[in-house]
Amino acid sequence: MIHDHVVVGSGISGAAVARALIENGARVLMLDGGRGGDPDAARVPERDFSSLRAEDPEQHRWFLGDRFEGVPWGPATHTLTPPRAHVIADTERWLPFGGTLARMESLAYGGLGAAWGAGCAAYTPAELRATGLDPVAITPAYEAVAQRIGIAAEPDDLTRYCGNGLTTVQPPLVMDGSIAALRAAYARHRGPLRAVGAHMGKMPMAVLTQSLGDRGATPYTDMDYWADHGHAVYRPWMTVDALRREAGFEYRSGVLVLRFEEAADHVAIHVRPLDAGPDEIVRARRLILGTGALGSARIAMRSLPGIDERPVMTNGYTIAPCLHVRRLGRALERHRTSLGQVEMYLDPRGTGEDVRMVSIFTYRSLLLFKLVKEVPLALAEGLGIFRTLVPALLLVTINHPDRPSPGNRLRRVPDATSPTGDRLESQLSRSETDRAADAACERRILAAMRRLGAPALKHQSMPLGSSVHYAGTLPFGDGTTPGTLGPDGRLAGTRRVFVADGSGFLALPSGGLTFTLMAWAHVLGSRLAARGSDA
Amino acid sequence: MSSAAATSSPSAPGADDARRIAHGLIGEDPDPFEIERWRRAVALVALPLDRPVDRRLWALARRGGPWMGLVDAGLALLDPWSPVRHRLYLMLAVLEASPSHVARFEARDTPPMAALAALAWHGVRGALRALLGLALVAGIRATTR
Repeated sequence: MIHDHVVVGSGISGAAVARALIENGARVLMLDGGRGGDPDAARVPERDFSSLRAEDPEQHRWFLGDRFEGVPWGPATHTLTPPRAHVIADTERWLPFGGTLARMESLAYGGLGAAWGAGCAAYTPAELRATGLDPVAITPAYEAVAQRIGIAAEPDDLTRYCGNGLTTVQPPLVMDGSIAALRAAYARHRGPLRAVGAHMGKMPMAVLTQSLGDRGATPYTDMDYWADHGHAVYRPWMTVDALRREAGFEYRSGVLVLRFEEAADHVAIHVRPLDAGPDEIVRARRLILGTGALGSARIAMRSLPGIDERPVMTNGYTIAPCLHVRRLGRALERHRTSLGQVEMYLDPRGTGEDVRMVSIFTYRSLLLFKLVKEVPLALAEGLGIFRTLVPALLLVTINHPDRPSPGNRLRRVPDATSPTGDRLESQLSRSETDRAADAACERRILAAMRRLGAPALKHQSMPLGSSVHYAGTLPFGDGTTPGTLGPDGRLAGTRRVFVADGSGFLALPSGGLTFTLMAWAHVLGSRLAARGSDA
Repeated sequence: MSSAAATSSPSAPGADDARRIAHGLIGEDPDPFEIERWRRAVALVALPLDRPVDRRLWALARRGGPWMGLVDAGLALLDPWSPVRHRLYLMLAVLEASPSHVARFEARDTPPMAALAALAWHGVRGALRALLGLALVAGIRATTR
């Protein structure tokens, strides 16, 4: 049997491209690791954080994990809460990885999107062009995706940086008291801050504030890191759940796509069952890779000669806890969201180029013990300090843009201990020039925070890759150079293999790529369906 | 490793250790479920006390009272990711994820001056403990092979 379209991966890109194909009348088989299915998140009681903390004797199961996997020890890194830990299940075994990139990949149902922070930055036309995408095609795709997944947003000072072309939106998330006070401070200092390139507002968020289909509005339980209460936050598995009810869609989980080879009239896809059984070959008229920039590059490197080394990009990432002085002693409201409620963009030259995206979070539902270990004091003292400080604490995360750099590479190397016989090795560093530019921008951002009454307590650059944004491993080109994509997303050296994720991006703006991944996958899926599977 | 196996080792924690440590951290006793949860956490994920100095410091910390705070404070400066601190940290996590002690972890509305006073109190006490703990831990490290 030869399938019309095989989509690999159920995450942000795979779900979006499959949906576009199905909506345009194509038939799709999705091959997926399918780990988890998010059963833990469904078990967390649908109650607000404060009630659950005060009354639920089982809370240790989700807050700490049955094997205490939610109690990290050592310097702060990007970790998942226990109910989200299935997102990275089995990746160490099946997707071995080494080197300097702090990688996160997924074999889960819904991929990394099952733990996504829901920020939906629409790139500006200039950013889209720099990324290698056509603004004329992507801008309406943003709108189409927004209508389907539900976006909360409002026009403000950030619209020109991250709200490009969005008109169908729901009301914005309600701010908690700390964020509202910060916004009020921004309103007071808006002129001088804008003069130095600092702009504040709300990034569009893939969170419902009004019901949409069978999904409900956010209940403001402050449990967003632990559960998907009401399905208010969009997750790709919701799309795949819906697709599985469609006649033209078939879903197969528990498999890893190893490589492909093209025949005269089809692609032979080599597939390995994750649990048991011999390798198999699945045949398709078209293969569409949507496993993320690392995963798609891995499959391409195994399948095509001469591309064992690939470029890679990732957003640099810095965390700065700030003390919102005027909020000292004022506890946060019971009903709030844990997600980012306000962002700042620093436009260093006022040109819209090289902007830095800053997300600002208040802190409560990730619990105090994770903070207490970060201060050089006895734990009892640290607890006393953070219990007082936390309502006034703002976690400021700074994302830097990235562009291709000769030193930033991925290599596929043989590895006899790996079940696939290979692993990816990364070599990444930030150039001195980029570091200096990052540092200068961070100083300006933290100066803006001071002006808003929230000086930084600490300032820590995280390992490269901690943003969990990866791109540019199979960059867009003319479609003939090995290891690149054509403008239509076709992998050079193939006739029937396309890439729906961020592998093709030529630049990585700071705003977070997830919304653009969905828009690009939507465009690609619509175009491929229009061509028919034999074209 | 099972809890039973854990208690068979001289450095494995018992219920009395749990009570002393919990008291040192938040001034409250753990309930039997929390004690068992902590012992299980230590058995499952605590870093091993491989070095003699860790075993000496652990012996001191498990006495509770001021000793625990001093060992913790000294290690926070000299060896923040020490296996001894890890055991204390696991207890802190267990206590926080329990409804019995929520008041010890929850922020409440307080006048700003009271919040500042609380910060100053913990800061001064923390600094004093750090000085004494530094001397204690450094001394033990210097005299332990």
